[in-house]
Amino acid sequence: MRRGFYLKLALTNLRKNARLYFPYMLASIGTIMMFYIILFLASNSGLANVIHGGYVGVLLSLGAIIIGIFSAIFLFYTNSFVIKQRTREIGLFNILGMDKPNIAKMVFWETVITSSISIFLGLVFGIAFSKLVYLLLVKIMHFDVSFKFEISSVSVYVTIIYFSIIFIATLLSNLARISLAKPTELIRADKTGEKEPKTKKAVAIIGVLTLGAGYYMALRVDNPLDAFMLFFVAVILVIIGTYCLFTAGSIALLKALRKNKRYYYKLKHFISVSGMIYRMKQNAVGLGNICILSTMVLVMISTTLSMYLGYEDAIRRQCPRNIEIMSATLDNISKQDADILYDIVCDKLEAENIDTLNMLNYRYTYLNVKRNGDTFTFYDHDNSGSEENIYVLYFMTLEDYNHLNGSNVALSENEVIFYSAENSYQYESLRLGAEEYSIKLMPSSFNIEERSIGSYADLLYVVMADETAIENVYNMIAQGITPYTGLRLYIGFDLDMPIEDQDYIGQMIEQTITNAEGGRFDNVYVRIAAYISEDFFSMYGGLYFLAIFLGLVFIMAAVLIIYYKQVSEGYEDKKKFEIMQNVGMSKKEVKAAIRSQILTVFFLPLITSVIHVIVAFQMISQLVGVLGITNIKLMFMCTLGTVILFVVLYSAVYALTAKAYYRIVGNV
Amino acid sequence: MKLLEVKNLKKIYTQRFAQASVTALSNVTFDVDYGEYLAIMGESGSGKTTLLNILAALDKPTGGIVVLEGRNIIDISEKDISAFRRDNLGFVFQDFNLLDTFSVRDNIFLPLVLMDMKYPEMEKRLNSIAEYLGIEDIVDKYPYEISGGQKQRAAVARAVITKPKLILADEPTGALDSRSTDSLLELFEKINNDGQTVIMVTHSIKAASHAKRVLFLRDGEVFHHLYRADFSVDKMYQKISDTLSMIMAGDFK
Repeated sequence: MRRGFYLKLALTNLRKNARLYFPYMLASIGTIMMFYIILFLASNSGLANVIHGGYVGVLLSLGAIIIGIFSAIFLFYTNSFVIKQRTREIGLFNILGMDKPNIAKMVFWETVITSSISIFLGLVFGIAFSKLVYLLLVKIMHFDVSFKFEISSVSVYVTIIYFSIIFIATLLSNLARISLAKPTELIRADKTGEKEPKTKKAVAIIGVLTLGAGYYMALRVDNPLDAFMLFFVAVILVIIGTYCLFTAGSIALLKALRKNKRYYYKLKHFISVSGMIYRMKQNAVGLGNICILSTMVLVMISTTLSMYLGYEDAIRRQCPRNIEIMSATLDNISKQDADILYDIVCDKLEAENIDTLNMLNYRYTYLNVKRNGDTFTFYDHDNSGSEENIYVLYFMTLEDYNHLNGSNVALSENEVIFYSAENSYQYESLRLGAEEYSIKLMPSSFNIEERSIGSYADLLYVVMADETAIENVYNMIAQGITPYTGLRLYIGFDLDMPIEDQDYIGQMIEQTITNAEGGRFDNVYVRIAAYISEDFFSMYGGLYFLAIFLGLVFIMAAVLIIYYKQVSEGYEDKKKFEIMQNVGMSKKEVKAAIRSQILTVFFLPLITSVIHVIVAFQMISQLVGVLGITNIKLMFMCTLGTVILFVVLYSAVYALTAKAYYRIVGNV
Repeated sequence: MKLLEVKNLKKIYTQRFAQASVTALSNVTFDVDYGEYLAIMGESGSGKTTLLNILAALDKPTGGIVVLEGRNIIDISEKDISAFRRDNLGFVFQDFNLLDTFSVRDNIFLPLVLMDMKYPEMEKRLNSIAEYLGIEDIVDKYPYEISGGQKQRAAVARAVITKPKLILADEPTGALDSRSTDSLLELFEKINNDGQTVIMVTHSIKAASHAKRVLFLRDGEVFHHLYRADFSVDKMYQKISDTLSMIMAGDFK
């Protein structure tokens, strides 16, 4: 045969099947572009050199791995769809006299053409857009780096090699499929699968139970500890439930509807119910995929967006003051030394003429305890599992309390001042160890209440007469498991100035303390919120960026799945609607039937995923609460915004792909 | 008494950008009485399909009228045409046109559902014809589970259940084996004997020989009528065969 014959044949085939191959190549180009961009960012030298860039590099590498795995699965899925639509044509070639090796050559050239074009254009777009994405990332992260345009040759090679492997694998699977099939099977391939699906009651019931259990967990959870433990269980249950209900539950429901004769034999229900039974049989898994993907996108973007926007709260929770001076963990400090340090700091600030706000100065210690009524006992993190009623008990002296609040309360030996942010403690005394302490005062607000260590548990404050009293109580509760080491230092204040200046002053004070009194205080450290906020930005911004990036990839996948579903269904429904018109259905009725059917099919996953997100909200807010994001209203707005944007995008995609469907079904 | 009047029917297909036009029907006139069983025969290209499409209100003629019970169906607006078709006409197709996604029962109910009939009434109608048409064993099966002959019986059931004034059958035996063909033709005779008017377009001499009258089309015109009267089916078969030979030989005019 003439040279180049198969190449020409392959080109003709691709052109004839443009409706199938165009979106497939678009998807390939898209995934290759995204893969290159994220590899490029992960390996970018500019980012690696930023002080807080470390997190971002790790996150981006993780993202590259996720996108790599996802593209492989996704391209396999779309390829199998394309080849399935073409089996009839290939069977015809076989019958007309092309033997299997000839067909293999043809398919080989088709793959060579599509994959080389996809890889080439994917890289071109990837390189072109990498700059834009880079700038976006830098903006999100508040990084201050100048951009030097570079093409990462390593990323280019990795992309080419990785996607070549994927395309070769799809080619092999296509060839295997063709060589195993008989010509008559190839021709009939797209006519199979018309049998009515069976009702799988057991699967449907499992679906209801798992989804119910997942939802129950998500709705019932009211503390972060449970949320943490149950989150993955709930996610897995909901995923199982979603697939079961999409595959079996939907069919069981539709069949139940069909059994209700008076309902079923109405024009509105008759065609849609029967049509849906078959659609669900063929599409349940695909729709389940779309539903899970959409839910993931929604949760990822809304959560990371609220983290990104709510980072100030998180910082305030972790560092209640802009500048904090603390003794290192477990290092005690005497009252005398604490006062000396306080004076050193104040002198320095005064000398530099710096105004401070919200000054706090006290000493404290704390214990993890378990509360049972009014009795508090020691709680050992390592030896006990998760339990309820776990609190962190903070102790401080009356002197500090009076000083902070400008009050003049007096306490006798068995009296305490008690504060709980929850305001839910209804007893009049505390039982700490063997002793009972009566509560002299339960203030409604406490000057230092923001103080927290990003803790899972709520904080309780106990103010005691003096240091000796604290030591006694501490030892009674801890029973020697964690020995009493004295009180620790905390000096904190806010500054009304730009972040860079705060950073500078923090370092200046640290220097002063280290040098004071011959370095006696060099184990006291200064924590600068501004510095930590950069870390937050780096992490939350990186997560947010990654979520958007992955979200885009997932949405692209969902779009393509929807498109292919419309196309394949279009061909199947064409004949059906012709018949209906033949027996006297008007064009208007046919149109209405088509409309309601495709609307149901494509909005079912969206509606389900929105319900998932709504149910998950409580649990997720508990989880990000641990990370310091406690602004529920902000979270709600972020979720709402993400959902609305997603619904709009999804509907736009639907409208576009529905056009393809109508074009195939014909001008009904 | 006349059920259907076809007068001076003309259909010319013109291509949009070409001078050439094709005359499918040049001048067709005939009547159909109540309770008649008319077979329309002719070679490919004689205008059979065009004629049937016009009778079925699927296509509009270039000229002439089609009057069903005093109403000219050419004038019925696009909006009302579907309702008109399902209320007055029943269809039987060569390739059955049954929906695989419906059981036989639901396929038969489809036109009734379109008419917005109450479910108990549908059941009553089906029960009254199921045994008569010999489909009581297959109503709960699916089209892909039954034979071609059974499918066509189901299609006939779907056509008659609306009690149409006229049944139009387009090559109903075209996809059937000979045994199924015989039994389907008997079925058509039976429903016709019970008063149902039937028009059947067919290639098959055997199918046409069961009709009460055969109308031959040639080059878009009615070439000949053949009445069965008292002839036996075999005799009718012979006469149709002779007529077709004559048409093919072309030694007339």
